[in-house]
Formats: sequence, C-alpha cells, structure tokens
Amino acid sequence: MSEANLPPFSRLRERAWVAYLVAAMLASAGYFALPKGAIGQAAVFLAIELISIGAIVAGVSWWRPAKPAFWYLLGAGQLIYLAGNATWYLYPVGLHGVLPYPSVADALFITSYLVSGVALALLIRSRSTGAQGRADLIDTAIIGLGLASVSWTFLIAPALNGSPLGLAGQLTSVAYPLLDITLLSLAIRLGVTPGARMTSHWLVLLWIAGQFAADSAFAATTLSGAFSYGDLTFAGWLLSFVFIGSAALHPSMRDLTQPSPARPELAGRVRLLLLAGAALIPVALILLDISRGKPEHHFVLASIAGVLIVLVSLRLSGLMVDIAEHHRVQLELEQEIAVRQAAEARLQQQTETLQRSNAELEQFAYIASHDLQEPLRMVASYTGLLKRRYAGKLDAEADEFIDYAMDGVTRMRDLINDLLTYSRVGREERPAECVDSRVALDRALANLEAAIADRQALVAIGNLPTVMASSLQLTQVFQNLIGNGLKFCLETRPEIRIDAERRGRDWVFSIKDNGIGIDPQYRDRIFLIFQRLHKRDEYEGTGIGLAICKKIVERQGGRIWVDSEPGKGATFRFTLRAMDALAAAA
Amino acid sequence: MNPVGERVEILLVEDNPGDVRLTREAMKEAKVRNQLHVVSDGVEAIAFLRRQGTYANAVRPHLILMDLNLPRKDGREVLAEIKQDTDLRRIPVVILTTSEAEVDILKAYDLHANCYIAKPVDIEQFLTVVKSIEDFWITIVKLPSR
Repeated sequence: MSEANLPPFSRLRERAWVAYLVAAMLASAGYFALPKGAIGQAAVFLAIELISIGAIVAGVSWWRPAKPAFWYLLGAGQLIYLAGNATWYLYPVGLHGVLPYPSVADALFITSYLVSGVALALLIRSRSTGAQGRADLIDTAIIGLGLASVSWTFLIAPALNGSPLGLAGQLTSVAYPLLDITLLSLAIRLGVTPGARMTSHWLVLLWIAGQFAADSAFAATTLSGAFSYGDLTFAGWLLSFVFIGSAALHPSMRDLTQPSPARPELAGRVRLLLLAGAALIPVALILLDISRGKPEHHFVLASIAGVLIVLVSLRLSGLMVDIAEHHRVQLELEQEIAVRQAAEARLQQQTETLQRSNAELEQFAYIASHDLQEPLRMVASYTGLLKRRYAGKLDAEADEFIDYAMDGVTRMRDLINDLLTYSRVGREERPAECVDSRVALDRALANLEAAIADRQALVAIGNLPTVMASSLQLTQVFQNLIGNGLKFCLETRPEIRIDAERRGRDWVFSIKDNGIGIDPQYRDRIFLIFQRLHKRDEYEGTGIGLAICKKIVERQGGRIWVDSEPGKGATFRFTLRAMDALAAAA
Repeated sequence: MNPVGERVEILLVEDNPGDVRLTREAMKEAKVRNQLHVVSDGVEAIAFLRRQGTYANAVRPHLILMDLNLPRKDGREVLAEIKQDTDLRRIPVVILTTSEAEVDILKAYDLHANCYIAKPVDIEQFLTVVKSIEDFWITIVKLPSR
C-alpha cells in the first residue's frame, strides 16, 4: 500500500513509533532529573515500563502480524518483569522495607527471563529457513560460551566464592548471569538469522543489548557494593523498555516473523574473527587468573575451553564439508560446461555441414534445371513438331506414343520450371521493398485468371496491408496458395478468402479455401520439396509449389503453416513483418 | 515495307543443329520468301558479315538472329563488334536464346541488341515467335535500304 492511499489515521500509525521513541527518551531523561532514589523516580521508571507494554499491545492490534505468538509471549514476559520491578523498586524505595535475597521479585525476574527466552527462540525459528541453521547454532554456542566464561570469572565465581547466602541465594546469583548470557546468545543467533534486516529487528536486538548491559552493570555494582537506586544502570533498563516498545510500534514488526530466502553466507571474515575471539576468551581468562594468582576458576574455564574446541572443530568440519561440496559442484559445473561446449561445437559443425550441403543442393538444382532447359526444349519442340506434322498420318499407336511423349515433356517442363523458381529464391533476389500486398495479390489473381474463370471460383479479399517484401515473390506466394485452393477443390465451386490481421509486430496473411483439406499429420510434410499427397491422375503438380512459398516466406523472416482438417477446407497462413515494426526497429 | 518479291536474307548464328533445324522449319511456314544463312559460332558470324575468307561472297543480311552462348566467340562479343561497326550496326540483331536470366537480358540491351527473345519450350509457341519476328522485323519495320 502506498502512503498516498492511506487514510490519515493510518499515516499517523506509521509514524507513531517515532513519537513514542522520542517521548519515551525524554521521559527517561526526566527520570534522571528527579531526586535520586526518591519515590518519584520509581514511579517514572515503572510508568515508562508500563507504557512500553502498552506499546506492545497497541502494535499487535494495529499491525496484526501473521504469527503473533512472539509478541504475546514478549508482552507476557515484560508484564512479569514489570511485576518484579514493582516489587524490587517500590518496596525498598517507597516503603523503606528490606527485601530478602532471594525474594518474590527474583522469582518474577527469572520467570520473565525464561518467558522472553522462549519468545526469542520462537522468533528465531519462524525466521530461519533451515539451510544455514546448524552453523548458526554452533556459532551462537561458541560466542555464548565465550561470554559465559567472562560472566563466570567476573560475576558468578565472585558471587559464589565465600558467599554467605544459602543454596537458594547462590542458585539465584548464578541464574541471573546465565539467563543474561542465554538471552544475549539468542540475540546473537537472531542477529545472524537470514531474515530481513528491518527496523523492528534492530530494535529487538537493541532491547536485549540494553537489558544485558544494565544487568551486567547491576551485577558488578552489587558485588562491589556501589549500587544505588537511580544510578546509571537504570539508563540501560529504561532504554531497553523504549526499544522494545518501539520495535512493537514500528510497521515492520508485521513481517518480523516472516522467513526470507537464505543468503549464501558460508563464513564471512568478520564472523570467523568473532568466533576465533570468542573461542580464545576462556584461555585469556585462565592466563589472566594465573597472572592475578587466583587459579580457582581453572576447572570451569578449562571445561568451557574444551567444549569450545569441540564446537570449533564441529564448525570447521562443517566448513570442510561445505568446501568439499562447493568444490564438487564446481567440478560438476565445469564438466557440464565442457560437455555443453563439445555439444555446441558439434552442433555448429553439423549446422555448417548442413548449410554447405543445402547450398550445394541449391547450386545443383539451379544448374540442373538451367542446363536441362536446352535438351528439354529439343525434346519438347521436336515431339511437338512430330505431332504437328504427323498426327493422324501414321497409325493410331504412333499417335498414342506421341501423346505419351508430349505428356512426359509437359510434366518435365513444369518440374524444371518449378525447380528453377525454387532455386532462384534467394539467388536472384532483389532487396525487399515496401510492397502493397493488394497489388501483389491482384497480379497473382491476374496470372490465375484463366483457372479462376474456368472453375467459376469466388474470391473474397479483405483489407490488405503494406509490408516489407519482394513484390514478385509475394505474388508468387499468393499465386501458389490460391492456385492450390483452386486445384484441390474438384467437387464444389471454389470459394477462396484472402485476409490479413495484425499480430504483434507481424501481419498474418490467411488464404482460406473450401477444398478437400489436409490431414493434420501431413501439416509439415506438404512444405517439403517434391512431397505430394495425391496420385498424379487425381491432382497434378510437381510438389514444389508450397516449398517455394516456405522458402520465400522464411527468407523474409516469416513463418508459414496450415490449419486444416480433411473435408473441411484449408487455411494457409504466413507472416510478414509490418512496416511500422521495421521502422521502429531501425 | 520492303520491296515485294525481294528475297529476305536472314543470318542465323546458332551452334545447336536442333535449333537451326527448328528455325528452318518455322521459316518454311513463313509468308515471306526468305533465305536463311547459318553460321555456328561467333568467329564465323563476324567473317560472314565482313565477307572474309570463305564468306567473301556472302550477302549482307536484312536481319540477324543470334544465340548468346556460342563457341569460340561469344554472342555478346559478336553483338558488341556489330554495334561498334558504323556500317553493320544498322542491321537489326534479335537475340534468340534459352536464358531468361536478368543479367543476360540487361547485358544484351546494354550492347544495343534490338530485341531479346527467350526461346519457348513449346513448339507452337516457338513457331508463333518466329512468325512474329518475321512479321515485325521484315513486314512492319522500315529498314534502311542496303
């Protein structure tokens, strides 16, 4: 839908995410203007969070995504998170109470992280198309484990080490960083899925980044005892609320859950560098610990390093397989190309041979028909003279013999003439010119005048165009086709209709008759030279006429064919390029 | 009109005896009394016209019928020579040949042939053509006196 077609309200919706983003940013700035650690800050914080949930609800109802499950789960997670925050923030700040550790708030937080994690997993699944899935999963695990080793060294281990907390407290302390790492890993996984990189997608990633940054800062400040309500850590959480609300309001959220075609990404240089870096983190941390003289994390870090080595090996083997596959496909392609080139060369050779033999055949036909004229004329003339001088003067048998000889001479003359005409097409050709096809047709009809009168044929003529052709040859084509129409129509009075219609860049001429028709199985054969479908005493002819038509039409770049059924007449059609089409091409 | 009773002298330049005989037969049926002189190649044709060698006593023809494809000296060369000769060029030359090729027709007229006729295959037509030549070039056309 283009913007101009949208009703004003919809256009407002398109922009609502910007308004929300700006307003929520300003409100976040306002948070820090308020007295630090006061109830007012808590109220603003929770209000911004509540509004972000409202934005998710509004976004889902406005844009109606095809797969809304992600957004529902996300909203639910945020709602639980809000409940956690309300407890965690209002109880100490508003009521000046002291929260135990772990408290209800921690249970709510952990639940919300789990729900959000499931939501992200769902989103990743709906965006993935499978092909690149395994490699992406391994990459995510490598980076997640690398980050986990950092988390272990700086957050988890210090919290556990000599902790006064009970088991529940210790588990809670471990759960937070682990859940954060899980969310971050899912975010990375989401980042490398092949789906479309849309605004909503980036905003979801920013939400997780903000959350992770704030959670890490919180963990660190809590450990060092520097944490206080309203400090800079809260900026990270506030930003994460703003981002997730904007992600839901942006119009592109509708298509966030849509998979898109996999991009061919075997292993980019940046990705490989990141993976190598992540895999080296535990080793670096072990070295750091040794240098600090605190070797207590080695078991865990070494285990992580071991797992990482396995993962990297898996990834490498995958790459090797990919490369081998790539290589195999390339080899196959090369072989295929070689085979095709060979076939092409063979075809080229055959074409040349065919062209040569065609040229030789035409040369032969020309020379034969040309040189046969002379002896033919002798035979014809003297047989004619014999008949003229001696018909009725010898006996009856002699007259019969002379008639047979005359008959043979006549047929031979027709054959040689047609053959000569056929071989002359293209040999003694004048350049194509602008021809009024009606003029060419009239000339053909004049040549056929005797036959038309003899058969009392009805000839109907439609509107005929001007085309690019050789005028004499066009006449020849009309003459042969109409002549056929007259010839193959012994039972009834011939009715022949000549017409033309425009089809794209061509004019399609049609010559329709009411004759005996042609069995469709002979549709192609009739256009071959010397092909006859009838015995000579049924219909006379040399079997060259249609071959001449075909040769003429095809030399002009056209096509000729016949539509017919036995007993239902035939319609011969041929195409010639229209004048305006030629002008346009020039 | 040519003087009544004067015998018309025709030179036929033709190498094919069959065609010579045909022309002779056709001329036999002609109305006008005529004498057909036959030479079978271009060299002989020129010798006949210039009364050289054995043709020292040859008559000057009223009309020349000539094929294009001749041994020794081609019909086109003979035609060119006749039409370059201030005396001989007044004799009408009828090209009578089998060729219907455009190039041959053009070439013949370029060399000032008086007319070009393709020999018909059919005997009746051939007779008609020869009769027409006779009618036109001998009876109708006014030729310069010799």
